[in-house]
Order: sequence, then structure tokens, then C-alpha cells
Amino acid sequence: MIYAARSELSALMTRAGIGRGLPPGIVDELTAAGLSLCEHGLDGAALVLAALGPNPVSPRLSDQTLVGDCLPLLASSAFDLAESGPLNLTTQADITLLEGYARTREGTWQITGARPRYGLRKGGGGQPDRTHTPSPFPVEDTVWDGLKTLGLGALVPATPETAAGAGAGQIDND
Amino acid sequence: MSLNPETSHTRALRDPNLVMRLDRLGASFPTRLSFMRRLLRALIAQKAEVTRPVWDIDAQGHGRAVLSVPLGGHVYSLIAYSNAIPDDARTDRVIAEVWDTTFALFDGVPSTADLDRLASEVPRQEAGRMQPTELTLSRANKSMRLFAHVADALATGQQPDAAKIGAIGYLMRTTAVYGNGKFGIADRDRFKHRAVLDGPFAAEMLTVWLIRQFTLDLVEHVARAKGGDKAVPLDARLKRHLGIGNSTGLGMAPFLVNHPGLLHAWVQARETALARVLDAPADVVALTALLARAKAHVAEWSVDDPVQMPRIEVLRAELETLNPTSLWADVQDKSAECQELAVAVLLEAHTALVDDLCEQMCDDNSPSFNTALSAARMRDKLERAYGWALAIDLKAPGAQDLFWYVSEDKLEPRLGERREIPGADRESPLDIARQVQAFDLDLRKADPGAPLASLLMTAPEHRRIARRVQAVADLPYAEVRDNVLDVATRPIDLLRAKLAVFGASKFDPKSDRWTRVTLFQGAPLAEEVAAGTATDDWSFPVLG
Repeated sequence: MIYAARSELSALMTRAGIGRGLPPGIVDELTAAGLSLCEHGLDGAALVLAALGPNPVSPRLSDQTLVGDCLPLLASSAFDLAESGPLNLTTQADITLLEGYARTREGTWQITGARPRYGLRKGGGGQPDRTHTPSPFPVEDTVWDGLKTLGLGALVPATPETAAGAGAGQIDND
Repeated sequence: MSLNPETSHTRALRDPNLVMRLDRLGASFPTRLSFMRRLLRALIAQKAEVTRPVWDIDAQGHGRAVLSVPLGGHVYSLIAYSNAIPDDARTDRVIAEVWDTTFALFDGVPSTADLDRLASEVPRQEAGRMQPTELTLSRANKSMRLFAHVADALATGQQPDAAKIGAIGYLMRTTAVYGNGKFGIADRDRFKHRAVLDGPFAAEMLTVWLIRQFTLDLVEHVARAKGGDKAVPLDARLKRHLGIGNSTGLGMAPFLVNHPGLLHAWVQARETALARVLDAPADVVALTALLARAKAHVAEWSVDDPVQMPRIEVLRAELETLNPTSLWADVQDKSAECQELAVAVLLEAHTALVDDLCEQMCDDNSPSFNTALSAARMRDKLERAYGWALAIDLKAPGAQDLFWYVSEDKLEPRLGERREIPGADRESPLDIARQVQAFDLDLRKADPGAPLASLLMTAPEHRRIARRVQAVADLPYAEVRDNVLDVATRPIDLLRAKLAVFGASKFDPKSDRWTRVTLFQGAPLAEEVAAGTATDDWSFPVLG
């Protein structure tokens, strides 16, 4: 088990999302949702890793129903659209992370239904739970390694050509 | 609304289209708003006494030590592990594996068990694993030119060569000071509400000030071990002139681009201070003394860099033409270096008008993101705030030649030529101007009345820039108003801007993306702070 600082885990998740090929703005919100769950004692890191499946495809909207299986892309649009009225979702993805998205948004949110059909509505319910567990957050080694591996996709491989890119020499004795 | 005559101003702040350009940022000087100055004022006000609860250092200067200091109701301890390393392994780069000395700033006073635990983690730096009791992580390498010279001289009862101290300015050079959660250390949230450490980078600045003290203690220790009774302590004047070196690379540049709210807060504080000062009667006596000190400081500032040294020479000549009674008017037709130095001098002369602004240099805001905004209103907002970005010709030769990236090699930030270095498909998104133009293009194509959410669903690649535009549209100093992909970009301009806010001086570029600086040069020593004899009057340090 690794005990990660909030900002450290944030950077790891973000790099993983970018490495997976998701747009940065989508990744930012995914990371915020994952961290929000960590702050509530849930395994946000594992849920983020699970949401970073291959071949991210944007959702499509049809008759007030948003359809898609890439949770990060689906979630950001779903909450945007549900700001102006109830929205139906159809997805095979694990939607536990949507609780994290809801906590990072203003107001209260209701998520109802069962796989694959859900409803998302702003308002109602009680006040959002604002209590939170401070970092460090426990992260399973396999999840940590999984996020790290995905993050490699955001990094440029080390080669002799890139070694000069820092603009500095290799030895500094002065 | 009543205005406090001491802290209000009627003068407009300087134009962001001037002060946020790279060439202007790259002429920044530290001011009394700089974070090192704020820290020293707090240490002085509290007469903070540095103690050494642990000093297990051998005659060669190797071993471990703890320096503790009470500050703002808490005790913080610098833990140092000093080792022998081969000369050919001594590098300032992130890719280094060993360092002469490694450090952690500990929250409290470490137990022996803490020291034993950290002895196997801190010396490994990025490869180690810390805990939230550690607030920062750092390392430093000796100046091979100076450390042995000073130790040898003191050991024989002599003072070291002042000219060497003046030319180098530090015994050790830090190559990174990590904070905010890296490698398991504490998130800033842990201490951001504490007195003194509530300021940006305050924990890092405290770390560096204590490292400076450690290096001074260490060199005297080595001299005593070598010279025995013949050894003498380092002269206080020379000691005060020894700061701590720092070697900084590209990592600082992405920070500024990625923290626009913070950048705005830093520049807004300085510009507000300048406006206040220019509205007030000039303190000619103070300005005369400060200008003389600034001239002497610049006279002692010499570098090998073929771009910076000619600028310093121009600055020296310009400084000779300035009159303290008309300083601001005099510099209007002078170089950017001269104008920015004048800003630092003017702020220094008016402490009462300036120092409170230090408390406005944080950015803890979480701006909301309104995706219900119509495409037309979003575009209005974008055009109002980002006219500078829309005006950049990205099709001009060289306009997109560079790309910023992070290497697999210890996550070192780097910059490459797009056509020559593979990896541009993994470019870091620092291309704000290009993102703004792409977003603007799609906004023009969108139904003006459609909500932004519709566009972002089909074009999620604009989501980050859309959020950014909304967040900083009313923050004029949030953006570096240049195209950082242009082949003419000098990343070192970004580095200097940030280092000046920290309080660094004696910028010594080693390339266009790598610089050495001196931190805390001229700053009060620990013994002066504890004795109550220290003052916050150490801008433009001069050895004389």
C-alpha cells in the first residue's frame, strides 16, 4: 500500500489520463472526482484507473439521453447538460465515480437507476457531505503501478537526443 | 467607501501587455514583496532562535545534523545528511542520483527513530518515500571552487579570499526544493493556515534559509576539525554575503503557465505596490541610498552569458544617469532591466506602502465553470481577455517550432525542436495562445446561442482552455502574453520571473533554459536574528 499526498495523487491521475489520450480538461475533472472520493474514504484512485479504459469515445445525446461508455467523457458532459434539466444516461461503465463528480459541482445532485440506465438531476436530496478525510490517501500498489504505467503515455522516452533538451550539461563541478 | 491614504492609489497599474511579455518578465528583480523577504521579516519579528539538537558530523563534514527553529507557534527542523560523492557524479540536473547533502524540513523536532527512517529515504530524494511529517525535500552540492578554499583558510587562521566569495557567493548550491506532496511529503493543506507558512513557498524558503545556515556551520566545523586551535570563525561580513546557490532548469516554466491565478496575484501585488509608491511623495534620502547600493550591487554582478552580460553593462551605464528625485521618470526611456530594477528600488524605499501586499500573494480560489454560457458570450469573454493571444501569427516562420515535454527520465521537463526531436505527440499543453486560437475558431463555427456545453461535448479538447478563460478573464496578470512555442522563446525569462518573486539575485544564465542564482545573499544570519540585531534591510547585497 502506498500512502499518497493529495497533490501527488492528483499529478499521478492526471498524467495517467493524459497518457490514455483523454483531453486535459476532461482529465482535470476526472482527477477532481477521484480525489473527492478519496477524501470521503473511498478508493478514488482505483475508480479512476478503472475509468481509464482503452479507446475513449465521446458520448452522444439522443432524446435527452446521453449514451457512452467512456465515463470521463460521459460524466463531464452529463453534469453540464443536467445543469439545465434532468438527464438520462445509458452506460455500461461503473458509475461510482459520478458521486465524486457530484461532490465537485455546486449544489446537490441525485443519481438514480441501475446499469445501464440512470437518471441525473440537479437539486433535491440533502446538503452535500462536505466532511473530508485529509491526505495521505491509501492506494493499492497495483493501482499505483497501473496509473504510473498509463502515465508513461504522456512522457517522452529518454533518448540521447532528448537528454540535451534540459539545456544543461551532465556534470557540474564549479 | 473610505480609502486608507497609505494604501490606496489613484494611478493605473502598468499595462499587462507590457509587464507580462517574456522579455519583461525576464528582467525581473527581487523586491521586498519577495518570499524570502517576507520570511525574514517574520523570523526577525519573532527573534527566532536556531538550535542544533543533533550534530553528528565527522571531521570531513559527513554525517547527519538537525537545525530547529520555532516560528509562528510551531517548531520546524531541517534534517541534513551529508555524504562523500565522486566528482563525476555531481550534477545539478534532476537526473542526478547522488548529492553532497540532502535535506528534509521536518514538522517538529525529529526523534532518533525519525532520523533513522529518513536516513534511508532522504538521500535517495525522488526515489525515496517520505511521510506527511516532512514538509519539503531538498539537496545541495558543494561549490568545489569555494567550500574547500573557505575551510582551508579558516583552518589556518586566515579569512578566505573575499574576491572569491564575491564572485561565487555560496558554499553549496541547491538543485531542487520539493514541496506540496511530492514523494509522500505533506500537502500544503497541512500547514497553509499556520502563521508564516501560510504564504506561497514559505516552507521552501524556510528550508533554504536553514540550508544556508547549515552550510556556514558545516564549513566552520570542517575548519575546526582540520585546524584545531588555529582555526578561526568566518568573518561576519563575509558570512552574511554567502547565500545559498540554486540551479534552476525548465521545471519552473510550466509552473507559471499552469498557475495563472497565482501568477496574477504575484504580479498584481507588485504592480499595486508600485502604483501606491508613485502616488506618494518620494523619500529622496532613502532612494539616494538605495540607488547607490543598487549600483554597487550591479557592479559586482558579472556573468559569462553572452546575452545577459551586455544587458548588465547597459544597466550599469544607465544607473549612472538616474536622479533619485525623478527616478521613475528617468527610467522610462531606459532598458527593461533598468525599469524593473527601479521598481525594486522604489518599493524598497516605502515599506509602509508595500509590505501588507505580501498577504495578497496566495491564490486559494476555485473559480466556477459555467458551461451554460452561450457560445457568443464565451467568445466575447475570450476576445476581451485574450486579444493578445488571438493577435499572434501562429503561421509565421518559427512560430510553432518548439515543444515542451516531460521526459521519462525522472520526469525532467525539457524543450525540443518539433521537427528534430521525436515526441511532439506528447507535448505538454503550455501552448495557451494556440489553444485560445483553436477554441476561438470552433466558437465562431458554433451556433451563437447554443450553450458551451454542446460545443464541449463534441470538442472536449477545448474544455481546459474554456475553463481557464472563464477563470482568469478578469485577472490581467494571469497569462504570460507570448507564444512559448516560438523559436525565439527564451525559457530563462520565465525562470527569472519566478525566481525573482522568490527573492533570488545574481542571475547567472548557463544557457537559455538553465540558470544559477544566489538565494539569501546578504540576509541576516541565524545568530543575528536570535540576538535581535537583524534588520530587514538586505536588498541589493554588496560585499564591498
